[in-house]
Amino acid sequence: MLEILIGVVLVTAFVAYLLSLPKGTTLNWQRIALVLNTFVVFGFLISWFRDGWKRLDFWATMTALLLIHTAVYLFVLSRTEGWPLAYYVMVNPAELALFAPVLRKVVSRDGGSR
Amino acid sequence: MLYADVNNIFNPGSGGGNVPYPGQLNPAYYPGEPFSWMLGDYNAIISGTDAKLFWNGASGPVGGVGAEPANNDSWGWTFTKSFFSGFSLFGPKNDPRPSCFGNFVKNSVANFVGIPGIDTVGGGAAAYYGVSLSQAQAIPNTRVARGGISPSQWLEADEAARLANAGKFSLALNAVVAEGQALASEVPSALSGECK
Repeated sequence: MLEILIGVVLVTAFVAYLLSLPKGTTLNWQRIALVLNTFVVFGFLISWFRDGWKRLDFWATMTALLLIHTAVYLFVLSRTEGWPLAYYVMVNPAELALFAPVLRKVVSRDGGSR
Repeated sequence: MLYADVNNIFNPGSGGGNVPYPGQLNPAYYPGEPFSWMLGDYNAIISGTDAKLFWNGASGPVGGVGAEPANNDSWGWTFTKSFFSGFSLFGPKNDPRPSCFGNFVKNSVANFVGIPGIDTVGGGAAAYYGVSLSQAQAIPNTRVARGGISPSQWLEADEAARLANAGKFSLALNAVVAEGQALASEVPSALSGECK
């Protein structure tokens, strides 16, 4: 019931926002999808590696991965007409499977800079 | 409520209708059926498809007939009946404009799978298959790629389960984004009346 209520509130707020936009304004959905999916990938990584939150090298690695992720996506998105959202569904777990071992190595390293 | 359509009052000689005797309420009134009734003083006949009142063109109403049947339905039931009897998911058939809801569904699927016109079931199945594949590939095939642990340790570490959850979450999130995108394009066209 709470979930339905939250959903109704979110959709209502979204429609109200759409109505408040000046006529002819279109949202950049490609960027919105990229930002949301970036949050998903890095949100999961951050939540999985709680052990590394106090380590500087963990955050440095995360920043590097975020830059690589963003650069690759911006490069690809600028060269494709349409990027179906289903691609994110497939690429996100692949990215996580790629980044997680890297971060695990960093976190499991002894004497990492803290 | 009693009412009469005074436009349908005419003299007995000018139109049809049974003219029995004063005050007789014949023929019986059947809702929706044409009828003509003689007024009590033979001055006029009410004719039409609906009426609840005898009307004397000169002196006003002279009597009521065919009073509306008592409506014992609750307000909620009446509302529900009228809503569903007139409700159409894709809009009235005699309206040539495209359906707003139909466009929304089509655009949502097109945004998600990137192929306009692909059916929803196919799109959903393809996306789910994609998630399954990515989960199957979620266990790297070299020890180095697994961060120095064996596949079983990888599984023990709950990585595969975590990746499966992340895949499902991505699927749900991107489905919502596709719907949001479709909604954003449908709301202006619905407001401007381009769709029904």
